[in-house]
Amino acid sequence: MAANAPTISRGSLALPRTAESAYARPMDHSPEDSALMLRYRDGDVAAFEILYRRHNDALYRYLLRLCQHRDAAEDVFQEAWSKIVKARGNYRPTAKFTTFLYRVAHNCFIDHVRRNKRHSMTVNVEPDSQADPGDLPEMETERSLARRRLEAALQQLPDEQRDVFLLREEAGFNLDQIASITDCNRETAKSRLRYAVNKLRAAIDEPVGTS
Amino acid sequence: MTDARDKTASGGDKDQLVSETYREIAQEKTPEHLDRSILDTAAKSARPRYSLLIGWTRPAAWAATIMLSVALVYEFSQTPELLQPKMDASAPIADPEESAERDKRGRVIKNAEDLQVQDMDLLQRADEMARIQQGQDDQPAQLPPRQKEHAPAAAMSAKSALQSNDMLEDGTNPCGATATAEPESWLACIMELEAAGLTDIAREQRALLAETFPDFDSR
Repeated sequence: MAANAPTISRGSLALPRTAESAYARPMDHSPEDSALMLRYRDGDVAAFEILYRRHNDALYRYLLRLCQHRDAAEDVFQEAWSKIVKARGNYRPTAKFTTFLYRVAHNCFIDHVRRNKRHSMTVNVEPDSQADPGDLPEMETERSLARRRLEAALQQLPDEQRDVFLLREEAGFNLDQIASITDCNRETAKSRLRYAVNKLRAAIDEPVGTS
Repeated sequence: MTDARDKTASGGDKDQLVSETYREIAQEKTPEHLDRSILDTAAKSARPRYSLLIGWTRPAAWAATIMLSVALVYEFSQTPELLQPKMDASAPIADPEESAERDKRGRVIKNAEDLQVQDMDLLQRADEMARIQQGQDDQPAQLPPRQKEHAPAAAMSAKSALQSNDMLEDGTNPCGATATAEPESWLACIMELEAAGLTDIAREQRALLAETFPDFDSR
């Protein structure tokens, strides 16, 4: 997997010119996001805090599973938000704020991979907090196993497939938005997502004895 | 439409199960220290870029620039000679007729100065002749031997000087203002004219001398 990491293309920071792809599936609070960012551009710090609290956890989880290392994820997370803060003066609400935010985060991750050769397969994500499967009822045990298998399969996915899957699950982006963020065409994003889901589903459906 | 197509392509129900399972494990929250750090950075960046301590530098720079510009304009306005070449260059070209008239006046003045130098020589000679004339009252005035030797040359030079300029045409006195100021020098000039063969002019000069100085004996 480490060999696959540097192959991820780095998307441009420029916002998409056409709103067709960026607004293919409107999110619930996108207008407020842009308005909050514009207010922060004018000096309203409280608006930025609202914006940050709205997206911080999802972005953190995206980077945590993308980087597969807590310290690296925190560094990239902080760098991404710092770039958002610095770019406030040039911000124009021509695209959804979430698209802008995740593209910046994606590019920060690519920079981190290129910069840090120690990017490895170290798994440092918090372990499943559920109890040992042997102490739980059968149904709960199956769900716990499914979660463990999914977590392990997610870590085994190529970076490109994991990136596409996480963008869909954490931010709810459609294929056009994912293609825009990851700087690839729609069909490539669709193919990566299909491979990722198939592998994860296969891991969840794996017989108990083989885990 | 796009979402439905995407869902079909990515597996439909399989996708749903994977998503539900993922949501069960994705419960992490952003660490508090990270939140604090980012919010502090955002708050600091939202402050004005220039603090009050260095806020005076920009208006001070503007004021200094304006004062320097005004001082330069005032300095140039107080030194008009710096602009003089430009004004001369922009002046109209002089009339050719005026230039010719000015050159003619210059030549006349130069000739008059030359004649004044000659008048001084004539004045000295007149003094000598006056002394001779006082010693020989009954004898006609004669030039001393030295003057006899130089008389033709002096007369020729006087004649050439007279002919070289247009004083005769203008009707001015050929003996000049200096020579005619005193009767003795005037007489000396007349005698030189006679020696040079300009008898008509000499006669006229002698008549003028008699009219101007009736008490003077010009014989």
